[in-house]
Amino acid sequence: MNHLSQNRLSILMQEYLDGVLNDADRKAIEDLVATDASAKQEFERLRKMRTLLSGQRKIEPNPSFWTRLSASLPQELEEDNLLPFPRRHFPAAALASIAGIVLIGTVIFQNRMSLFHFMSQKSQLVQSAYEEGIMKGSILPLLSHIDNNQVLQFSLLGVLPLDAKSQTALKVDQNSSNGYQIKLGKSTPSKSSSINVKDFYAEIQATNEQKDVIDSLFGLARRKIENSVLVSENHAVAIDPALAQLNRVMVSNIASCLEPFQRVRFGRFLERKDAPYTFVSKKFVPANPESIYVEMSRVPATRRFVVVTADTLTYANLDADVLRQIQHNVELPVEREGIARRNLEMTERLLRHFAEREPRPVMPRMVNPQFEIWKDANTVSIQFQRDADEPQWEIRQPVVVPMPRRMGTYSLNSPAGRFEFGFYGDSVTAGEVMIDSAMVRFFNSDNAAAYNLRMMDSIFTTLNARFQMHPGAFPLDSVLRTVEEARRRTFEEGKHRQQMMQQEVRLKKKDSSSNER
Amino acid sequence: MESGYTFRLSADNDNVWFLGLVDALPKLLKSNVPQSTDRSLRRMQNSPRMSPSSYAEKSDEVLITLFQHGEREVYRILVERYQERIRNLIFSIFHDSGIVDDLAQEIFIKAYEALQGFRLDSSFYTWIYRIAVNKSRDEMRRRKVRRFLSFQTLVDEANKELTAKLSVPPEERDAKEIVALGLQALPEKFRSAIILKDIDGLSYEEIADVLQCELGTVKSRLSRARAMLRKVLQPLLEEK
Repeated sequence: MNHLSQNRLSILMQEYLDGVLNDADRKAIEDLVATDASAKQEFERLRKMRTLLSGQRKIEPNPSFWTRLSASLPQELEEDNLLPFPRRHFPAAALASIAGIVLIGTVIFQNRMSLFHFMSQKSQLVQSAYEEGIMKGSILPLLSHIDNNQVLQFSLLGVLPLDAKSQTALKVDQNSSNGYQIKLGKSTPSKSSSINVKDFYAEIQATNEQKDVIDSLFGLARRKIENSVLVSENHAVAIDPALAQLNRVMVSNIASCLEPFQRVRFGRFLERKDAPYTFVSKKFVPANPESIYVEMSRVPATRRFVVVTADTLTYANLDADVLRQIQHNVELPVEREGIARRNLEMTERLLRHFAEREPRPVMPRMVNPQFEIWKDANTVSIQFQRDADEPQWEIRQPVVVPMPRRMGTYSLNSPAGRFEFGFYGDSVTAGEVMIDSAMVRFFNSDNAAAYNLRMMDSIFTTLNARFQMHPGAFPLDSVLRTVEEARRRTFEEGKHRQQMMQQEVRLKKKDSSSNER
Repeated sequence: MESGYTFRLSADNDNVWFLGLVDALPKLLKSNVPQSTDRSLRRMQNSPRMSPSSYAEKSDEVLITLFQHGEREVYRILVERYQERIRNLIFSIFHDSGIVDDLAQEIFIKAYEALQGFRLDSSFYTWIYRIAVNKSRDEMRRRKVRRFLSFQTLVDEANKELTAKLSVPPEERDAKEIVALGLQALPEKFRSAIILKDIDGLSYEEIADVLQCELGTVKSRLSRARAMLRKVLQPLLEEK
């Protein structure tokens, strides 16, 4: 080691300190440093310099560094990769797509004549069907020129008689466990057939403004009903599945136009008429009639119909233009009774035709149909799966629910009024209180209970009785206890007031008699 | 035809096959996506979105792969893991705290832009150091140009502080400050080498990777840097 230059020795010492020397060189350096004073001095200097460097001052950490940096990062790279594969596979995927397109193109090119023939044949069929069907008026709305009473009947009850005599009707059955049914055929007469708008308005004590709004709702519903069921002379019926939602939408929209006490009356009206739906009186802001109108009058560019013939069923998309054309045909100056008669004849012919073709099964012309068809001599029913179609319209508050079944009644008579509870379902899931004809309906939702009990509180307050209840204390016994307490206090207060009045009367009598004297 | 595909039908059934294909295409494409060889990564991607804290334990390589698969939020972990080292590296090179955060930000933005194409052929650690050294080099060049353009004023004013510090007798100065000033006096390529080795503790191989030079070059630069620095630090080194 001694023969090495000073510079080379220094380099070896640095490498020793850096820990990169091999064992032999390391041993040699260690020996040299141990024996040679100048080498030791050099080694110490190097080591000290190393210590000085490694002990260099550090800068203060910056905890907000990321906050500042993140604001400056390029935004375009922040976007997620929307491709269904990593970006680096894009060239391969693009090549594969091009190859696929070329392959399909080649197949189409090779079969171009047969394809052309097929397409032209099909389009001719469609064209002729369009011309012969729609243009010549052989496709007609099943229901046309219906009045507000019929609209109300269908909107609230889901039944629309085509002819009172023959009792052929269009019915939407919403209580089916698997979904809903649209039935066309003979219907059994029901007590609800007498429903009319005048009685309805009287029942809910509608103001003139409300009548205007509800009338315009009926106008919109009428249009929906009229162009939702189409029949053709070649024994086919086309039904828009969205028709089944109209019932719920109308109940909800009418309810949202009403004041709380009117809603209670509306609920009772629905129950009395055996309506399939009622609504939960949740706390909600009354809807703006204009927004309801705009929403209901929105016409989609294309509507999907279920087309049923005696042997087949399929979906068909109909443009708004075609529907307008059909509507126009109906609105031609033809006698109203004439059209109604023709519609009825077509329907009956259709049903007869369906019945004659039994028992051949209906063949769906699509993969995985979301509905089934039943037919007998009198009725054709289309059963839709519950989630077959997304609601076409927004179902607004209040939430519409299937009508619960009343299980029993509990009533209390008191000087303050009559308290009546109606029980629904197998537990106290819903109740109703009637006090001097002011009725309050409440259901099992926590919010609904809290809201309605507050509302009840105000009613009891006006009757000089305090009615307070914790929203959590909803079980029946608590309700009854509280109401009983309120009743007792009302009674005592009434009794006290009566005594005071009697006393006042006595005093007045006494005064007047003394004055007379 | 597989069950489970939804086929749309049009009114006339003319283009049924085409619409069916349109619906099925995204599923077919998905099934053709090449599978990653990294099973743990695939598991992570298939699992519900991970919270930032669960990323913190992942290695740089996993985080980078996640980033390259669109998980941009993991970049934060990488930044937080290396921000102080990069800030200290800049501080060591320039000995100017005013420039540290700006330059560090530029470095991490540059890394963010380039990370998508990073091939993992070196460690992220040396890769980000390389960006830092290159950026620092650019900054030094910029400063040189600025100094050249207004040479007189800079010599007279901007460097007044440095001149004053150097004129103070060594025994009155803080040892750390002398070391810093000594480092400042070194040419850039020697300064980078000695900072990376003696302050940041990188190995020769890592320094070669950062500086993009041969191992022998690293050794020679280190040796020359230390020799130059010794001249400045001589009084300190002689102290007992």
